[in-house]
Amino acid sequence: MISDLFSVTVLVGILASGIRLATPYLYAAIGETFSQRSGVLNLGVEGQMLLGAFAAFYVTLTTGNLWLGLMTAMLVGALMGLAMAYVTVNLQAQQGISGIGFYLFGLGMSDLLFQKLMGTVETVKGFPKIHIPGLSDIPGIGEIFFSQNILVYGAYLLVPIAWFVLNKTTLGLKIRSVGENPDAADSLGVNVGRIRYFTIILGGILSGVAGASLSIALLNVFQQNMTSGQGFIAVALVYFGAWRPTGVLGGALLFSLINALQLWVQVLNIPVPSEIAVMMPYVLTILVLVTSVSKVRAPSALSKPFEREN
Amino acid sequence: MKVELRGIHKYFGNNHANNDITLNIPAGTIQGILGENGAGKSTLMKILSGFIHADKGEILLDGKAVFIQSPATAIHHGVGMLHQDPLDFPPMRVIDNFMIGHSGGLFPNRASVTRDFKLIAEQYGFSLDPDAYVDSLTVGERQQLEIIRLLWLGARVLILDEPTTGISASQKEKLFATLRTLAEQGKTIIFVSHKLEDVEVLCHQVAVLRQGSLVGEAKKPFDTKKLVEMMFGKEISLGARQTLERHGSVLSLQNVSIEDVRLKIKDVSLEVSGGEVIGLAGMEGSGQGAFLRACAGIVRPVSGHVKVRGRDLTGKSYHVYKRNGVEFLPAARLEEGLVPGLSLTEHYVLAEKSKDVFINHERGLKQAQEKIAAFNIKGTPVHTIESLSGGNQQRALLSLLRDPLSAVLIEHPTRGLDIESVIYIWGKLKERCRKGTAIMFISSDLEEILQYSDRVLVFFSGRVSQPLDASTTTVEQLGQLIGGKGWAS
Repeated sequence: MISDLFSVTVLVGILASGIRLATPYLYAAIGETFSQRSGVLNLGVEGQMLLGAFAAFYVTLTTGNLWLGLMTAMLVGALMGLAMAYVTVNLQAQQGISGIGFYLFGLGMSDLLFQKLMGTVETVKGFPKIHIPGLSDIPGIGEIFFSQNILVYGAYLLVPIAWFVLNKTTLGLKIRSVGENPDAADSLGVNVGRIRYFTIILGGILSGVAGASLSIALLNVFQQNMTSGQGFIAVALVYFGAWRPTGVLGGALLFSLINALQLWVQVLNIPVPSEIAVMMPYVLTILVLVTSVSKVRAPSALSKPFEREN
Repeated sequence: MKVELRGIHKYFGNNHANNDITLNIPAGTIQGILGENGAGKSTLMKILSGFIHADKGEILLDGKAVFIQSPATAIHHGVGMLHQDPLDFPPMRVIDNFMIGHSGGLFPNRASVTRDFKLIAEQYGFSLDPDAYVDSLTVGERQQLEIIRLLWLGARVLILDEPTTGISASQKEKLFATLRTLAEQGKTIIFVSHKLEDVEVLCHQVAVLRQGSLVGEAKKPFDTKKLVEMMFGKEISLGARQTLERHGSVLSLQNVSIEDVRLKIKDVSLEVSGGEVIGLAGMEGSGQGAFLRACAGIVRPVSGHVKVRGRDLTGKSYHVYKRNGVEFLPAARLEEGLVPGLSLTEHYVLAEKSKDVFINHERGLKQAQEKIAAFNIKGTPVHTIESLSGGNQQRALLSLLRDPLSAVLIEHPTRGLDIESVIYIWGKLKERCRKGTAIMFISSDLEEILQYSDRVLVFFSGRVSQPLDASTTTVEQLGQLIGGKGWAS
């Protein structure tokens, strides 16, 4: 019954899983924030996540080493990013279309590798919860905030780091200038191509980690298309968060909490058709994007290829 | 720093944008570069500042040959350029704008950079708040920011492209004072403009470009008449002027005012009779474009009335004007007037507004053959429109005009066309006039304006002259007015 939702245990459960489920969104959307701030729209995030998730899972399954799995996912993400950067910077491709191409590649490739190398769904023992003496024992609070695994903590730590890099470092200034007016940045000696390579590859690495967080830290399985649109939601979150890491954090939390609620609704057998419950986060994506027409402008050069005239 | 350009050539496709330009500019000089739009001034400056590369030629700085690979190399050599549209980052703070491009380690040292900024700003009497956002600044202030930045980056040659467009009179005074100070310090200033008056007041010496070539140089004090002659040149004779019989008023403007982002045109009244040709002269963007569009209902005047054959069409759309016999031919032929990818035949079928469901190819083909013969178009009915040369595209555009018309409004009817096409097209237009059509056109070719118009309106920064009688006006007079001289203030 609906009233089941309002017991303390359930609320703590919803909040704890909400915090946890924000992890892949955070990695992917922070990565996307970097590339968009430099003027590159990367729609291939979903594909990068899928390949990252597979790589992490498969390496962990075969070697038993979670860290090796995570690093493989980062490497795969970086390679995907490198390819995207080449297509975007050197070939000056239309970013919307090439991004969709990279998504489809990641989707197909991860599925193919899964069929060829594994064939059946298996499970691994993922990153364990970290017990922080004292903090983890606080009733409620401890369970919500202080009994998560390392990748969850990493995701939240990434937010202030990204904010700092973008706003306080010379590199961040260059990234913003390239996304705003690449011609002007170029005239001032900023290497537009190199900056974009950097942000796209960084985005790829973080998407790889996002995928790994699903397959070896949260769900500990790999299935075909297991990201089920989370990469695209991450792109939407960048818009929702107005290209700011803190905004992205807010958006990611909102989504994961709704998602957690939806999961618990199903777990508790509350008589809401499961299709409706599963749909909620997606409907919310659309509603939020439509209503949160923010006053913040997108980076002016977003999705525009840069070419020096001659 | 001494700047020498030797034998600079630059092609854009077939267009010879810079043709063998050689220029010597001693240190401490304010060098003016004069010329019409499209004369090749900006191309030359972009070559000097590394935005584009010359196809041939050398650049020497202080006697040493240098290869300027990119804008960053240029500033490294001490050459900085101030663009007409400021190259900056509007959503960022002044100080952030200032810091980009400065290789200052991992973390920018905001405090010391702010100190430098204030120091330079003070030195030249600029008062800019380092924490203000750039999009809250005026164009003049953004210019000041760029000047400070270029100086800070070590510029010893400062190129300014049309810097007096869009800034206030007092900001202009300040800018000129700054430039004079910089020249006294031994810096070289290159001042690119089409405004005669500004160049004459400020520059020590002037080079004039026309159609990609250096046509002349002059030193202070300048002879305005000679400069105008160099800028606009003398062209081959276009035949005798002809004035045709008038057919009563077709287009009447009463106290029309137009507002645009940059310009305000106030209170223009004009009566245009059938058979009359009105030429609109002025540097590009002086208001004539908006004015012509207002006569066709494409731009809505903020006040006043536009009447076509006595019917008040103020505020109506272009379609209504069209129904009343007014047609507008834009300068961008392929973008706005013709449909790339469609053949000549298909254009005539479209223009016919046939109600048939299926395309009547035979009739279209027949019409195309007739028009091709009548307008002497070099092409066949199946040729796509973009495969024709510019002159033939313009002929095709004219052949699509309906008959009869009250008024035809044309932007640059003969720009980029060879002289034969020019004469042919005006022959066709004058045929229209004979039937009672009024023509109003924009051109940057002053000879063309004086040759084919009956009356001329001159535009300068949104100001509009009284109609001048074309038969008694000279190219010199027109050139001066266009350059902003001789206007009652």
